[in-house]
Amino acid sequence: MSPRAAWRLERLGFGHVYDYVVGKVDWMAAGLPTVRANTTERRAIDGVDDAPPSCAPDTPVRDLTKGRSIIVLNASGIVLGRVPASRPGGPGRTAEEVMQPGPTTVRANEPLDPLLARMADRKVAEMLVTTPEGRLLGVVHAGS
Amino acid sequence: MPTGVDRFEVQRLVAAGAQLVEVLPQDEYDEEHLEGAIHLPLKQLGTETAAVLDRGRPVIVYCWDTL
Repeated sequence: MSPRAAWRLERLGFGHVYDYVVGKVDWMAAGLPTVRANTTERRAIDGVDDAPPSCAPDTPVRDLTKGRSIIVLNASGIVLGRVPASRPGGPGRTAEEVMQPGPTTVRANEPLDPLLARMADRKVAEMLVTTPEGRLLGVVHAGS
Repeated sequence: MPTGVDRFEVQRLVAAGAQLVEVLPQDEYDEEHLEGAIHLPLKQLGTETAAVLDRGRPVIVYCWDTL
C-alpha cells in the first residue's frame, strides 16, 4: 500500500518522497516508540533485562563471569551465540569456540505474557530479544 | 521517483525534519502508529487532504509491511 501512496504523493507534486517499505511491523519489532490504543498488553521489550552478561567472540572462557550463561556479540551488537553456564570445552578456549550458535530469539513486539507462558511450559530460563537485524535488546527471564 | 528507505534512514530523515505519514485506514492507525506520524489514508489521498503536509520538507510514507 505504501508504494502506491508514495507514487500518489509524487503525482501531487511532492518532490522528496520516501517509502519505508517494511513499515510499522519492522519499527515495532525493533522496539521503537509508537502510540498504541491498547497500552495494557505487555510486550517483550517491556520485560527485558537490558544489560545481560555478554562478551566478544574472542574473550577467553576463563574471563567470563561464572555461574551464568553469557551472550556472545560481535562489534555491532549482533547475537552470534551463547556460552552456557556449564562452560563446555574448558577455560583455555574462547567464547566463540564453546558457544552454542544461533540461540532462539524473539522480536521486541512479541506479546510478553504468552511468551512467559511458553517459556514456563518448555522450561526455558531466558529468551533473547533482538531487532530484526539480530542486535541484542535484552533478555526476558522466566517468571519476570 | 519515490525512494525506498530502511528504519535507520527513517530515523535520520525524521531527525532532519521529514514528515512521517501512515497511509492505512483509521482503525489501523488508531491501533498503533509511529510516534509523530500524520494520518493520511491512501483511499483519501488527494490534493485537499495532502494540504496538511509541508511541501518544503521530505515525506516518508509507510503501512504495515511489504504486503
